[in-house]
Amino acid sequence: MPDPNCWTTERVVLHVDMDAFFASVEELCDPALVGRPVMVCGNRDTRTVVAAANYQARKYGISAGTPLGIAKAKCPGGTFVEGDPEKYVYASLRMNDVCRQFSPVVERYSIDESFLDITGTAKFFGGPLETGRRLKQRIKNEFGLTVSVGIGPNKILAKTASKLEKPDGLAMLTEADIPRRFHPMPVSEMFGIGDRTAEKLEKLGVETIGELAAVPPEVLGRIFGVVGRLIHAAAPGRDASPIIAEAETPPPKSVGNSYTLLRDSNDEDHLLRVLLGLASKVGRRLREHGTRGRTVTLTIRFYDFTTIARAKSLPIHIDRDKQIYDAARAIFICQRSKSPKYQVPIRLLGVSVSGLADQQTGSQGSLLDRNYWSKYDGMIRAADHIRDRYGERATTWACLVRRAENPRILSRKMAGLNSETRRN
Amino acid sequence: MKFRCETKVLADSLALVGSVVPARSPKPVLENIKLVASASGGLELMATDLEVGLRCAGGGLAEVEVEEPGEVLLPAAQASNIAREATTKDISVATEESKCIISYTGASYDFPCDNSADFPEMPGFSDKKAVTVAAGELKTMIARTVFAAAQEQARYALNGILFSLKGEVLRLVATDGRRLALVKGKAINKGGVAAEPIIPTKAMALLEKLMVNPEEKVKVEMGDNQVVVQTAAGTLSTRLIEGQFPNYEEVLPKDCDKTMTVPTAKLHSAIRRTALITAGESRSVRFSIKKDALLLSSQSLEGRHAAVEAEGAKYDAEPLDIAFNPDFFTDMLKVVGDEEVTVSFKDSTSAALVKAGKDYTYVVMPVQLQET
Repeated sequence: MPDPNCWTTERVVLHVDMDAFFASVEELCDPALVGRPVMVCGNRDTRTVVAAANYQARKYGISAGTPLGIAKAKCPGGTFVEGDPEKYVYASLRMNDVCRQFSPVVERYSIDESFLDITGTAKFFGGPLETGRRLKQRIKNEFGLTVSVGIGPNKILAKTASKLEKPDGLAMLTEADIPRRFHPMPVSEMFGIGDRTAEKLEKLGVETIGELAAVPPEVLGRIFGVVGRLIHAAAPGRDASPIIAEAETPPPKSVGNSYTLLRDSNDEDHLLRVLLGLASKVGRRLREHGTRGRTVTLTIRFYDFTTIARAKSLPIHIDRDKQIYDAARAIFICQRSKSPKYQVPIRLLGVSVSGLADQQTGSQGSLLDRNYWSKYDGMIRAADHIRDRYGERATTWACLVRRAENPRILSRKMAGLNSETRRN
Repeated sequence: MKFRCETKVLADSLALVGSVVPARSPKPVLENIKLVASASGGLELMATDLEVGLRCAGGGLAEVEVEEPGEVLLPAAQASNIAREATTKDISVATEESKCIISYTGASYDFPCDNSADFPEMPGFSDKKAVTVAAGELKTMIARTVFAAAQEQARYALNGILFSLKGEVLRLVATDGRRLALVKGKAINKGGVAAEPIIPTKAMALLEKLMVNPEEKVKVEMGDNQVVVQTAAGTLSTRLIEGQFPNYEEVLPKDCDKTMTVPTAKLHSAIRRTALITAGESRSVRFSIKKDALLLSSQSLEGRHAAVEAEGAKYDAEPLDIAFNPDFFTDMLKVVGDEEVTVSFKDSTSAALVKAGKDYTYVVMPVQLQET
């Protein structure tokens, strides 16, 4: 019999949103940045956008998605930091470790957001708001980062609440708050509504969430399709979607990775190196999941954004970098030689492996090259151990080690400008 | 050029030669079949995809009445269809200025002529460095190996069959890296030719079709970068696959100390019946072998199980559990021919060795099952 004082008909969902996450992590790594406008972006020499701006930078009207050129113009004194995804992933994982001390049911919603189901655990920490306060304090103490916490009876209200007092906020929305606090909010504040959708809704005369809830679902369905029905279902502030803890995340159907080149490139050597890097990442992740797959898909996006994806199914399930690379390379060479329209500069390459093995799938032994593969597997195991301990960048294939070349020459090569002379 | 011949002769020859023609080629001229009518009578058809070439002059083509000698290129697929659908006993082909006309009573088709000089030269057969093999034997040897060759392997050498000639012994070897088929046969090799070319699988499959009469003698000319084979039905030339074929001797297991003998048909049927419930592509069948008993079993992800007893197994060593991709066994059992096969094992992780008769060896790697 549950404790009657804590018993509730509602779920209690807590949403943690890290404040200016990438920028905050950078400030943490380089204290000299604190107090200055900081913008995290891609490679500074190339086309890129601001991926995250701290609150000082936001005062200049800069937000995530602002093109770098515009950001520089708006905030000439700002500091631009090249993003380091691995750092953020690491920080995000550690923050989730802290979250799990408040509830076993933690869903990592994105790199800087998580949902916690604290229905059963809030009572141990003095109720929902106190749980939120303690979680904020723990993160602040352990990492020196601030987060905004929102609490609600479901994901929608919790997420909306975390926005209310950002940064470093703590807010709660209950079902009783729906008509008074949730419905008067502009539609753009609602979870799932982007700028474009908000714009369209405003044209229809729908400005607040309450007004959205009053629009018949068929009308929204006609205008926005499936999305319309979803936003209509969410507008009354009700949402039954569960919080899926990581351990319950279904096994992946495919494992993939893609990379947008710093500059469009037509240099086959360079592109093949990129492929090797992608294949290695995919292999590493397959091994982490303890699975293997037999279909390798290569995605190529050309400079004009036309995109092709070609798959090749193999007779066996694989998880070795070399096997994935060989398959991806074969597709790459075949496509490039097929038509001159594919011999143009490439913007993005992606490799994924699907057709993953299940527990019933045995591993087919190989008759040939057994010595080679046993050595190769030993090497890969060692490399994986090193990466487990010292991080993903601790080891890589020799040909992927960046050469100390004059950056200008390097970028020209990447653009394929002197590939002609290289072939002759 | 002008000739008249029996419709069936032309239709059959066009279909046979047409099997070489690539469906789409970067060189459109290769989508044609070249016909040569000679002044002395007789017709020769040829086609090539630059890798494999086939010329046919036998099977009734020699008796074709030539009114006017000459040569012409016909689009392979259409010409073959026209001849196949023709309703009369005879059919004639003629060129007129820049047109080629195929006609029979009540129907006429004409094509603009492509220049036959653009068609690549086709190698002929020369007796130099040639060996002789009995067609029936070669045909069986091909059938017993060709299925084990790889398809579209990045390692090109595996996409062909090793045609190894040493003295009077001809060995064909094929492997896809997980299984290997090796068959031994005899060749008449007066010139003492020794060579080990790798022949593309496509050429081998075509050659099997070309050997109509098992009694005939097939001549094989072993060139440096091509092999030319002459049968009564035609001459097949093929480029060789470059690269190093794996050392097959090394792959043959030498330490298999547990041997089972089992009737081919019974084993084939039992494996097929066990495999009925295994899932599509990642299939395996477990062999549980005990004294004079072979039990096959399989399971699917949905929790379905199959257990099938293979009758007639003879085994007298310690019990063994080992799993295989069922296709690797059925492919071989389908073509092996002998009534009985012996299968030898070392342990559940090492290759198994299958023997049928004294000339056929097949090696297959097991599947490692994750123990649950």
